[in-house]
Amino acid sequence: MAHSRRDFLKGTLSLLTLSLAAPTFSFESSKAFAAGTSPNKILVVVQLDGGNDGLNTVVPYSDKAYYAARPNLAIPETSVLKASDKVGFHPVMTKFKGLFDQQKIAVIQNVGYPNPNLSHFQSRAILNRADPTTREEVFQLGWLGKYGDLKSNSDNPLSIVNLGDGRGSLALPKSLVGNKILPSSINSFPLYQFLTDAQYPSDRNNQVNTFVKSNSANSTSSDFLYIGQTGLDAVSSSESLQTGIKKYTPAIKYPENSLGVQLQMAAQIIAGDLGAEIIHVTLGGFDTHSGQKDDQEELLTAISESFDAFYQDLVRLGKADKVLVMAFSEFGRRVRENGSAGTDHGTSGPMFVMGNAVKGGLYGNSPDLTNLDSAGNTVFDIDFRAVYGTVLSDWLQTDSQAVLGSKFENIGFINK
Amino acid sequence: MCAEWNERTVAHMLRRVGFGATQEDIKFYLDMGQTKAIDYIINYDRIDDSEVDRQVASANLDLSKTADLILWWVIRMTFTKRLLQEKMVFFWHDHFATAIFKVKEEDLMLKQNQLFRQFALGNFQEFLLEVSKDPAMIIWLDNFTNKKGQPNENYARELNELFSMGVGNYTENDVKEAARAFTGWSISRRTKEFMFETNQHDFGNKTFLGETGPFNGDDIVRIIAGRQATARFISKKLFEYFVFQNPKDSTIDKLANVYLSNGFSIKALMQAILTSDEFFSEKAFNSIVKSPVEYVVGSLRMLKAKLDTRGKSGDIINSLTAQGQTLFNPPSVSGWDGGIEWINTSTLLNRLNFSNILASNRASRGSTIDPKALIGNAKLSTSKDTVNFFLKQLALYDVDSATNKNLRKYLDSNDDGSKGKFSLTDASIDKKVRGLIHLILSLPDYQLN
Repeated sequence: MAHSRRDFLKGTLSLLTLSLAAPTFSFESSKAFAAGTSPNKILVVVQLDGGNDGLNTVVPYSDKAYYAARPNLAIPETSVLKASDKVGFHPVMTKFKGLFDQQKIAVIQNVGYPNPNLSHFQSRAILNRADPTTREEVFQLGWLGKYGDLKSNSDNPLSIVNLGDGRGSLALPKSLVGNKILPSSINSFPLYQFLTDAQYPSDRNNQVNTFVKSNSANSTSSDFLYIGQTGLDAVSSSESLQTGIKKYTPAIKYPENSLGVQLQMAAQIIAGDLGAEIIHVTLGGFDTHSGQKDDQEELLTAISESFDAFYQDLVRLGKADKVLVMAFSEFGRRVRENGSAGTDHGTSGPMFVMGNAVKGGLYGNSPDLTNLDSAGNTVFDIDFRAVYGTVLSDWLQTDSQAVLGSKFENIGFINK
Repeated sequence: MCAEWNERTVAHMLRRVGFGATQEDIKFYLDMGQTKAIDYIINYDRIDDSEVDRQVASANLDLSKTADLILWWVIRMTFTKRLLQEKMVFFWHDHFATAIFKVKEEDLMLKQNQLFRQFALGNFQEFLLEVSKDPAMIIWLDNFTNKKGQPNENYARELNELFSMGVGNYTENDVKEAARAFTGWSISRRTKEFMFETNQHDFGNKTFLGETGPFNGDDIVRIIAGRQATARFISKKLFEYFVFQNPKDSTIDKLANVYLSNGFSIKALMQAILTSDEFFSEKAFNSIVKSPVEYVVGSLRMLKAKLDTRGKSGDIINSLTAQGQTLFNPPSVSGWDGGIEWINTSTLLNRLNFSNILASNRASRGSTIDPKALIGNAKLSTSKDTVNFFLKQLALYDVDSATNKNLRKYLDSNDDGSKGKFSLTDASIDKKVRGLIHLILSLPDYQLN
């Protein structure tokens, strides 16, 4: 019997009725996911948590105002990896520069939104929900969740995947909150299994079947239904995952950092043809209020090397045409360096898009450092929703307005 | 108050005011009657809690290590008889959320935790004042850098926004003025205790929430504690934590009045909440998603688990983190998101796998349970008896008949899935009863409080 996953929306009764009418889940049918169709277009979203210092990532080396504002932190012109006669990359980003030179990377400069919010939580919520008026504490759908509701195969819990690096715990990013789609959150492949008593393996099927049945129980509580569905998804997606990832044999060396770990997991999922359409990874640590130099070097090295390893791996796997990577951060940082060899929260910053489908190069202009807002922050040129919109329409082939609420300029960084 | 005082309502009450509900506790409080029971829960100072001290002492902890500090608190939660005290400390830890990842000093985190215990049901004005002077808080929200002429607004902002009134009840200017009032509230580098640095304090006039004077931090706290907005904010937060989400305005008005007319007493407020009709209403039952700590500690309590303190209970500490909640390390000053956000496939699998290991561990390392001892003298001859017995052991009174039948079928099934007949033997206890416990802890029903 074909099953259909339930709909969820906190507190809405209409959806509750839908859930009650949903046919009973049948565990066997879930195994069909493993052999499911592989989507043509996969989007890997990289969230750089903490607010990346864009000015020391894409360095405006020809701008005197940059050097004046950052007597200690500015990157000397001689070491910048030049991308144009105005800007270049941080010197540790050699592999990233290599991909840029091969036209595999588009850099969209000075991206932001009106009335910038300098709180990590608020600004992250704004970026994740593609809504500059949202408040973190309210319940609201994420932009990828809305996309998933429109387009993803909501019967496959692996169509939207939230990855972690195995340390700590893994929360669901607000971008992935949807109505119909329920993403799988995977923090570690070995631990992503429903375990039963190792002493009695012969009793495992009984336990799994009992679990599946009791998690399919009906209830008038939307929390109960959500938990039950998450339990069903956990079991079925872990079975599919454990089978699918065996198709992957490592051959490319990934750097040993959080992003490297997660992007290799992403490659493994993609190689497994598990039907993943959206894969979300996170790299934290960008909140460089003090001692920025060493910390940012490590982080930008991680981005540069992990992106390169991931791209090479996708080429090897024959998947490079199917995958687009998009990286963003909740905000950039203050133009003027602070008193503790760091930078405070700022506003606009660059976004990156990588893949074979990308029309490589620089988009937009470096921020005007002589025309700052009252707090000493850059004034954005390109709305982040225009970047999302371009990805939605030209890569995911979706009506971007249906997701973003309005139309934004197409930036043109995707080859059509 | 509730119409019926029975095992089910007592279990509900205990799940909310404590961590899980053992059959012994249910009987104890049931026999007491409702009025006395709530009085007993609230006036917990009278309860002998020496068992906790014995358990802590036998664990041989080094509280200068974070893992041991976490275990110290887990042991307290697991063995305390002063249920509400420990639950309130847990509430305040989320409310005044402070994390060791920034504070970095275990002794200061412990000191703050003891402050929460001391003021668990205390006077909110005094409590806010002590929190404002708490060294861990002063580090956490940077107040040691808040100086005359160079104010740092971090503490003043969160005091207004998260700790007392909530957004919309003060202006940006109120935050700035409050920050000035807290200038010089620092800690001694030597003793790591609170220190008022006179020469860093701004003694000028401030205007805060319409009042003007040469305010110090004490004045800001005094003004805040008496505000209607504070009364409503703290009443609503406690109500939603203990009863259900989105209460009516009239309910919160009533509670806010209790707070204001009882000298800002949290005890009076909790008394009003626990004796409200809403607390025992059907709407409240099973309406809260268990946090990882409630899930783990409740299971340990109800299954009378033996903790592996020699191995520092790494199984518990690590699993709590993987489930999404590391004690002493909330993700931000706004605490844990909680509610349904506790649940995703990763955090849920970590819950289920914690339960599997707890139910099936027979080794000397890690927490263990003894299903045979749990059964004791109970006469369990059929799968039906056994399922009902263990649902009660785990304080589940609302599992529907289909799930009940499903669990019975598990006990009765042979390895190949065909129908057999369960009977209670040492072998079936070791195999099927352990499996049953794992399956009950994995029910969606059990994820709710």
